[in-house]
Order: sequence, then C-alpha cells, then structure tokens
Amino acid sequence: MSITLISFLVPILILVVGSAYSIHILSHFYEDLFQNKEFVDSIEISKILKRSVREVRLSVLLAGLMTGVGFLSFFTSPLGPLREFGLLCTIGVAVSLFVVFIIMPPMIRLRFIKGWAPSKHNSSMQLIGLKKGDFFKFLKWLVETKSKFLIILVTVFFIFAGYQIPHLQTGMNMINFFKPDSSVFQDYDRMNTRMNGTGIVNILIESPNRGGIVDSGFIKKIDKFSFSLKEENSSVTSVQSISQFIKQMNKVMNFDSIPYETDDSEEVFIDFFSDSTNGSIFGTSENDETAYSSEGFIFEDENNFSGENSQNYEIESGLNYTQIGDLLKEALLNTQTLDPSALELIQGFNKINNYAGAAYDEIPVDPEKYGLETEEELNALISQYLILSAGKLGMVINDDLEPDKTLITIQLNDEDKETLTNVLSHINTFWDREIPAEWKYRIGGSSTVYFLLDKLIIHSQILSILGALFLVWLIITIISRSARVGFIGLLPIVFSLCGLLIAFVAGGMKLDAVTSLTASIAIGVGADYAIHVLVAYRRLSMKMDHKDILFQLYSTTGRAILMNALSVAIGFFALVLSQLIPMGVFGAMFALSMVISSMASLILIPAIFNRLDIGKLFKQDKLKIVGILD
Amino acid sequence: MTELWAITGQEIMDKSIDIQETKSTAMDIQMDLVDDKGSVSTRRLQILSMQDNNGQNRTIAVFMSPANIKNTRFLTIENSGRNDDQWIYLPSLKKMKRIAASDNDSSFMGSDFTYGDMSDMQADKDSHILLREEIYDERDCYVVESIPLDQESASRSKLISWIDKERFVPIKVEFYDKRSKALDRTAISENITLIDGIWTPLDVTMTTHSTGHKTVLSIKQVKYNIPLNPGYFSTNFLKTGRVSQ
Repeated sequence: MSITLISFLVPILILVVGSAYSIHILSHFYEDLFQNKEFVDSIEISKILKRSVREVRLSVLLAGLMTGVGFLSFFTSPLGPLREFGLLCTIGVAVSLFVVFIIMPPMIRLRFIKGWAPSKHNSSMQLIGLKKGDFFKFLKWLVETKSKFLIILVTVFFIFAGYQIPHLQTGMNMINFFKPDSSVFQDYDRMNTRMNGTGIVNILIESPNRGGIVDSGFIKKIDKFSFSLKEENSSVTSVQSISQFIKQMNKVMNFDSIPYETDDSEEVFIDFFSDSTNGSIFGTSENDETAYSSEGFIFEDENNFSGENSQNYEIESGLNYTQIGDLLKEALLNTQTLDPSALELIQGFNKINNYAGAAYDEIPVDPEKYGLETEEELNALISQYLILSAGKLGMVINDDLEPDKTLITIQLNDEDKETLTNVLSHINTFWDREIPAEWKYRIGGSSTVYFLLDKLIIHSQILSILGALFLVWLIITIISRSARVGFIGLLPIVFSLCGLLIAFVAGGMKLDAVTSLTASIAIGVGADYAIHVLVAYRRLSMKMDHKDILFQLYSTTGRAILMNALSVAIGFFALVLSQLIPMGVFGAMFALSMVISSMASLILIPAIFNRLDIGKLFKQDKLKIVGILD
Repeated sequence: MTELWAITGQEIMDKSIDIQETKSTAMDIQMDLVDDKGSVSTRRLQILSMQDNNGQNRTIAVFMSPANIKNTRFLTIENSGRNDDQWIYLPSLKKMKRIAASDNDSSFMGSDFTYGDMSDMQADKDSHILLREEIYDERDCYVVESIPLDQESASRSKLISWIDKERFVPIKVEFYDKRSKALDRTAISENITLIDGIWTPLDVTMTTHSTGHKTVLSIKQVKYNIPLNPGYFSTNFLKTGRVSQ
C-alpha cells in the first residue's frame, strides 16, 4: 500500500476515534473520583477506575464496533485507495480499543499510585465538573419544553435536505484541488485558454484481423467521427488519428493528379535476383565493369509541392455568366453543404482544379478517382502511404504495415463533468453504431479517468452510506431489541448527513475523493455519540426517574461528548488553511459534522425519548445482552 | 586499462567494420516480426547498395511482400554533413515523391531494428573499450564497449559487442537505452557463413526486452562486390523499374 491523499487522513481519524474512547472513560472516572471529599487511596482509586470502565465499557465497545463496521463498508468500494482507507481505519479502531481497555487503566493507576487528595484538585473539579451550568441547563429546558417543536423542525430540515440532493455537485478534476491563484492552476488555465488544452480522451479501436485498420471505409468513419465530434463539442480542440495522416499523404501524393484519369502504362515488378524479371542484377546488358562510377546517378527534382505550379487545368479568362454559374454550382456541390461559408466555397472551387491538391484532401474511398478498380487496391494505396512514415506513426497505429489497432486522441480545453459526459456520449453513440462486427473499442485517457472516478466515488459513497446506516441500525436494534430504538439511534447520523449535504450545496463545494469521506466520518462519529447517549439512557433509566435522567446524562456522557466534539472540531478546522481545496473543505465539513452529530445526539434523542417515553421501554426490556456485557 | 591487451577496442571495431566493407551489395531479406504472443508477421524486401566515388552509400530497396505494398520502392542517397535524400515510389499511384529521410532512431518497417541499425556502422562515432575476452556461444570473443562520442545526438547510451576473435564478426550486440541506461535490445547473429569472402550472419534476431517483441532478419540471398549499373540508383529507375542504357 502506498500513501495517498486519502490514506493521509487515517492517522487523524484514529486520533479522533481513540481520543473519544479515552475521554469517555476519563470523564466517568474523574466524575466518580471528584465526588469524594476525603483522601482516596490507591486501592479505592482502582475500584473507582474499575467501576468507571465497567459503566462505559459497553458504549465504547459498541461505538468501536459501529465505527469499525462503518469503515469496513469501504470494502464495497471499487476504488483501491478507499478500500485501503477502510482497512487501515478498521485496524486503527481495533488498536484504539486495545489501548483504551488494556493499556490506559494501568497508566491511570500508576498516575494515582500515591492516592488522591481533594484539596489539590479543586480547580480541576471546577473545570471538569461544574462548567456545564448554563449551557446544559438550556439544553435540558429545550428538550423538556420544546421537544414537539424540535421534532417538527428536524422533519422540515430532513425534507429541505432531500430537495437539495439534485443540486449536489461532484468533481474529480484534480486541478480543482488547487486554489485559483496558485501557479499550477494559472498554468493550467493558460494551457486551456491559449492552447489546445490539457484534457485527453483516447479511443483504442481493435480489429480482429492483422492489418484490419488499413481499410479506406473504416478510416473514412474515423474522419467522419472527428468532424462530428468537433462540430458538436466546442471544447474539443483537436482529434489526432490515422485519418489526418492519410488525408495529408493523399493530398501531397496527388498534388498533380487529375481525378478519374487512368494511367495505362504497365507496372514493372522488380526482382533483383531473378534472371527473367525486370531489374535483375544478372542481366549483363544492364551492368558493366565501370559500374562504380557516380556518373550514372541521375535525379529529378521532385521536391516541388508548391501549389502555384501544380495546375492541371487552366481556368480560361473571359468566362461568360453561364460558365461562371456552372463553375460556382460545381464548387457548391464540392462543399457538400447547402449553406457554405465563403471559405468553404473557395475550398469547393479549388477542388474543381485540384488547386494545391484540394481535390484529394480526403480519405480515398472512390477507386475510380485514383485510377484503381477495387477497394482492395485502395487499401493497398493506404498501406503504401503508411510506409511513407514508417516508424513515425506509433502514436496512432501499432504496426507500420499491418496495424490491427489504432488510437484516436481527443484534446479538450475543458474537463468539466458536463463536457466529458457529452464527449463520452458522442463517442459511445457513434462507435456503437459504426464499429464493424467483432471489432472492439475502448475509451481511456486522463479525462476519462477523472470522469469514471467521479461516477465511482458517488456510486461507492451511496453504497457505503446505505450499508453503514443499515449496519448501525441493525446493531442498535439487536442490542436494544427494539427496531424503534434502532431508528432513533440513526436520527443523529441522518441529521448530520443532511447538515453536510446542505452545507455542500450552499457553499458550492464539490464532492470528490477526499471531501466525500466526510459522509462516512459523519456516520462513524454520529453512531459513536448516539451509542453513548443510548447506553447512558439505558443505564440511568434503571437507576432513576425520567425527569432526573437528563440532568445526569448531561453531567456525564453529555459533557464527554461535547468536550470531545469541540476539541476535535477546533483541531480539524485548522485544515481550512490547507493549500489543497479538498483538504480545507474536509476540515471545515468534519468540524461541522462533529458539532452537528454531538448536538443531534444530545438534543434529538432525548427529545424523542421525552415524547415516546422510551426510558420506560428500556426498563421493561432489561437488555439481556447488555446485562451479559456488564 | 587498454594497455593490458595486445589489441585495443578501437582496433577491434575498425577491423570488424573494415573486413565487412563492400563496394556493392545485393540482398534478399526476410523479416519475421514475432510479438510477445508468438504471432508472426512476415515482410520481404530486396536491397541494392553501392558506394560512389566519394564513399557515400546509395541504396535502393524494393518491397516484395506483403502483397499490398509489393513493388513499393525507396531510393536513399547518403550525403556527407547533411541529411540523406530519399525518394519513394508508390505502385498504386505509379508515382514517385521525394520525402524526408527517416530518423535513425525510428523503427525500420515496424521491426525491432531501427534505421540506424540498418545503416553502416562508423567506428569513429564511438569510443571503443575492450572490456574483456570470453567464450560466447563456443566462440572466443572480444567484448567491446562502444560509447557515443556525441551523447546528445546518439540514440543509445552504449553498445556492448561480442566480436568473434577469428572472424571479427559481431555475434552478439547489446543496446543500452539512452535515458534509463538499461539494456534495451539484444541482437544475436547466427549461421555465420563465408559468402564472396565476407563472413555474413544469415540470421540476426533482435529482441526488445521491454515488449518481448522480436524480429528475425534472414538473408535469403546475398551478393557482394558485384558490378552494378549506377542507373539502379536513379529516380528514373525508381519510377519506371527500368535501367537507362
């Protein structure tokens, strides 16, 4: 495994998860410890520690299980880095649990090996035990008096979030990871606005037959494809293919040709080693003893590609209107369009006289125009064009003489999702229709990778979120033996996801490989907090009346959750300073999800319990599994 | 180091090149291109070459197969100090055109040989060091390292040649990549036969290690130092297939 932008987040997440577990144990321990007014010796401290660990053991284990399950859901992802991320985080959660239950208790005992005296720790007591005051009083008031209002408000919030889903933007274009004023972004922008652009889409077409690519009809299709793709997609700046080369060669080689003219001279086939055929080196009449002289070397100057000297027809001067009209009609027919531009009309006119090879600026498909008889002869002509650039066409064909694979390279000056969707749709529509039977085509290139990553990330995230939600619900349901409690446990998580969704849409932020992880983390953290609250509720409901549960819940679990959420959120918010945009978005969204999840767990679950009297349900149910764990 | 040997690397390469030098050559060659899956594609061509009075080579090559390129002809005139001149004749159009000479680094007709490999080697373009003497393929050989004097324009970082001590024919040559400096291609010569007084490897296999692709170049017929009519090396012959009287 290698370090990626995603796996880089693993240690941070493990830090968050591990600190949450330890804070819960420590807060319970100190809460019990600070209730003592007298000196507490090390034996008593061990008892308090044991009691504290026992009280939070279930919730921490369940939270660990949930988080582990949430991370394991990344195994459904088709993307390797996300699977690696899931595996590493799951291992990290297991190690964190090990540290919290096995290593931390002896360390606490060691810390208090000489006992604890209350007078020395008054300030700590105030800090940890009593600062809850006003804020938790407010929460208590809110839950006890406004629970109906809160439930209605949350329902409206869920509906509103649902309406935002279609507006959620995705984007895996790596350049958007950089800030617009960064030099990388500026250079990229220059390449796209002043040159052909940086986006690349490749199409590899494979024929089942050796030399199958050398087919004038097929190359004509590539030419049509290139033309239509550029016509319909303004972001396509260039299409590089074998057809460009064939057209260019055809034009150059037929610079002085006359369309449909036939050459009846006999083709002389050469074999230097035969006695009977032309060119034989054994024919004595053609060789003599003075052959090493250079006098016999005769060369014609064939390096004449200038259009001015290539006229085959002379345009007569003094044409009458009828003749000019006929010429224009012919030029119009050559343009193959009903509404030609001036340039197209000139090009059509040039074709009449093959001015500068204009009549041959095409893929040869009409054998008669070239003095040939069959399509096979045309294909042979194309093979001979390929020899002309033998060794230089590796970019477009896999063999100089008998290619069976050809590559089309499309350059784009825009790699937005919409552009790529249009270009890829054009490619698929055209080649699904035009590709010969048993041939294959594949699409690749950096832009395609971005596009597919984009689709895969959304797909895998949806699967992973649904999978994780189901598993969280299943675990809470099994533990509580109540599907209703399972759903209530999900509410803070869904609330947190909705909050993130709205924040993404409102902030115009895009989901990508990094930012999409916030959803998974929101589930992990939300499940963690929900479990702590549910287990605390269960524990307290067996000891006291419902009206006293809330105060006690906020004094212990609530305080631990809030401390954990705020400290981690502040820490992560520092990521907004990152030069990489996704990291900044991740930091902000993570901080937001910590705050939302903690608040939702501390307000929403108690508010619903307040309405449904779930505390009673807990008492009746006895929770046998929980009892075993205790 | 070179003083330790009775002969230097430079002398070995000079001798190897000198004894294979001819005034004229006629060859009938078959190239079997073998891909990594063992699929074979065959190409055949005949080549005439001769030196003019200035020692510059003139070559005419005619493709015999595959059928779609049969009778396609190339004429190449080597020039001292500037790019070679090259013309092509396309039988389908019955036309001849002057073209830019191929880059020495380019693949020769899709094979594992480059145009540079197919042209005559010049001993003064590299510095040659005799590395060691060893037995290769049951022949006593000099192992010579050749490093291009002009590293910038060279297409490889170095060559290591196993030169047969008795016949001074290279029986194995390793080509090292210009950038990675790693072994790129290996040529193995077999069936070395004395023809018209010149030791000639009738089969040369060039393997490109990165792709697993190889080309077996087999000389089917060869004649050295035969008198040739200079008319073969003219654009007139290229165009008409007939030598002017």
